[in-house]
Amino acid sequence: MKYAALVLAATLIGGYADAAQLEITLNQPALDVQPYHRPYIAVWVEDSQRNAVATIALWKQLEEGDKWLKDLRQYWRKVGRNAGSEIDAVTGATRRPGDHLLHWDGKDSQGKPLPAGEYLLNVEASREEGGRDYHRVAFELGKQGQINLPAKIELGPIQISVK
Amino acid sequence: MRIKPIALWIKAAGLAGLMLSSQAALAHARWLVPSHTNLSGQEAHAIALDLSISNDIFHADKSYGNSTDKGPGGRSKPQLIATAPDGSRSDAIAYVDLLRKSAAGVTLSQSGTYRIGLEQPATLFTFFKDAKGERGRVFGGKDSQEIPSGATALSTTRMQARVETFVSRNQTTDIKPTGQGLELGGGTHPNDLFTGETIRWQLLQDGKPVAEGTEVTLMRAGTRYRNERGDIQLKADAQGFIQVSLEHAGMYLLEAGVNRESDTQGIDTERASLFLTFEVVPA
Repeated sequence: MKYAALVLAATLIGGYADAAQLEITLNQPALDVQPYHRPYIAVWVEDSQRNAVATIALWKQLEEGDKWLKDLRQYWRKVGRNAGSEIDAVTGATRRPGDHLLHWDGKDSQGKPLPAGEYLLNVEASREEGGRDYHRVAFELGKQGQINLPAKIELGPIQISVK
Repeated sequence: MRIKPIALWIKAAGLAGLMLSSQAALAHARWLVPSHTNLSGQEAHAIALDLSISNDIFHADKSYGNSTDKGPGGRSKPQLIATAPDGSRSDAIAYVDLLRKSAAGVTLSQSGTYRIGLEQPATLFTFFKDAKGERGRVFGGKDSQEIPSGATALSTTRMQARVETFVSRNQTTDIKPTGQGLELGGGTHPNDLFTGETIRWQLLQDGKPVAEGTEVTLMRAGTRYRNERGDIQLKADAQGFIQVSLEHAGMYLLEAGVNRESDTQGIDTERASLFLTFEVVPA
């Protein structure tokens, strides 16, 4: 019985891992500043022509926080200002510093699987009374790979596994 | 009335912003600077605007006064108008005199791109040489009482200036040309400008692309803190487009002026100028 439960758990984890096309470990550094406002962070995917295809995460102040969304400048121009309800599912509150694990299933904002090929992963952070950092890096959907982005100031190191 | 040399005359009349030639056009910049060029969120937001006549981009120099003041000759002050994304025009927005600049506030409640600018009816000037051969100019046409007797080489110019900026709330919407004067036509959206990306703009005079070779100057804010002004000179291509990629983020002023022969009886030249403020952000 115990064994069966383990197998079941392993199957579930395996199934989830198969579905994830991207696994991202995003470090949000603890900054020795006073006051510390948790940064707004957006993670999204664009096609090679820089058209946004999916938002993986958007962390913002939930109550009346949209007035600062424009400060995620690249996210704002590519997704935010044109977004409808499709980003609600990935929108959450700002986080405490630490390592954050993100998955992306390779599907666009309508839930349709995207064809293999080159895409751009974007990560942007903006902090009130702080700075802004932005990464845009190409990856090949459907081809295994590993990308490591170095730490900046608002964003710590980021590891991206392409499955 | 004794006719003063032009430079003194301009000073006397307090019309530093009015222009005589393309050189003079670059001599006195007029501008308005918005506190924000992009706004997000469900609630309506206000922006602040500073207006000044100044070559020190964007440090204030000469005020526009109060919107309710009367200018030289009892003329009305330029009207500050916000054109909303749906095309509706605001009433004249009040601005107040802060001695070196004027200031105003505007609330944006629609989603999309607003055009915010100073509007003034086109103004006639007549240039001439007086009996001694000294150049002068007066307000009005060739029938102006102020033209001295014996003046020669009379030439009348109708001047129309646009001093404006664009601000977007939530979405950006296409810029709708007015068809009047010198203005931005199609191309890159003025509220979506990033360093290192190509900006491509078409300029229109009275709704038609400007002539090939029309000169356009871009000036980044902060001239006071640079030994070189670093203005960027561009020329329009055959379709009236200019193209540039800007290395530095900041507020910029685009200046251009064009002349064309007038179709109107009694007027020789139509002159249109543009002072457009835009913001470029770091990529």
